[in-house]
Amino acid sequence: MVKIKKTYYPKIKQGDILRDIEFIESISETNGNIEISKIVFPAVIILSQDCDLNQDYDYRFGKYKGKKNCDKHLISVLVAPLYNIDHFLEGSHLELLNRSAQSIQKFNRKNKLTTQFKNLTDNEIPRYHYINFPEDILLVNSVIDFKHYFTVNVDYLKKNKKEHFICSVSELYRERISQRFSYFLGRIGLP
Amino acid sequence: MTNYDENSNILKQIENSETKSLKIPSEVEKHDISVDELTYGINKPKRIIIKAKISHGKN
Repeated sequence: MVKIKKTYYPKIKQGDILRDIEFIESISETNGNIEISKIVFPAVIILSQDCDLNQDYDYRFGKYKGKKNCDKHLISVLVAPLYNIDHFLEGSHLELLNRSAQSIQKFNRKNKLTTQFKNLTDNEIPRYHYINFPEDILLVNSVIDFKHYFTVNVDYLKKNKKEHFICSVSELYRERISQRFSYFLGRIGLP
Repeated sequence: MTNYDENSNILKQIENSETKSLKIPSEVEKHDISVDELTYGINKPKRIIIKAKISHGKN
């Protein structure tokens, strides 16, 4: 079970879990008609490195605010979605986006946990990270899909963090997530 | 010698130019988003499409 911090800080930190975060899919304009398509993710986790986030905060809002050199400013923050484990196992977690996914059997015919399910929850599958939240955290057990990472504007996150903050994964556990994400991104696929 | 009034000059430029304002129509296609959830992360990601029309007019 992962350790969670419930204290809110204005600074965006690695491991922060926020609700209802928007990803702009597309914006188009035709003959004066604008169409904006966006996806709202019920929960996302911040994956950007904490040192980068700290520097961005200090130079943008903190002690170094106002400095002309914007070298430390980030353009955006890396996040990944958390999917409800039950939906994920069904393969239905993206059905509202008209996408189907593989389903994972939890129990075999002998009513024992399947190897596939155990690999998932033991975080043996590089692409996914399973989080088992404590009962006092109002968040369903979830799966992070590293392949679905996206970026969010820093100002947007800062403006919405207070209202959308759910909790934050503790240091050791968030570093594990970060390490697994880095490994997944840097993987080399051999034919 | 004329005194250059930056503000009035800018205002005149705006008045004389074609202004484009973005008006959000009363009908917006969107899915319901539940904000007051007792437990977070229950729902699935949803797509929202917002349509708006740029109106052209002179102020």
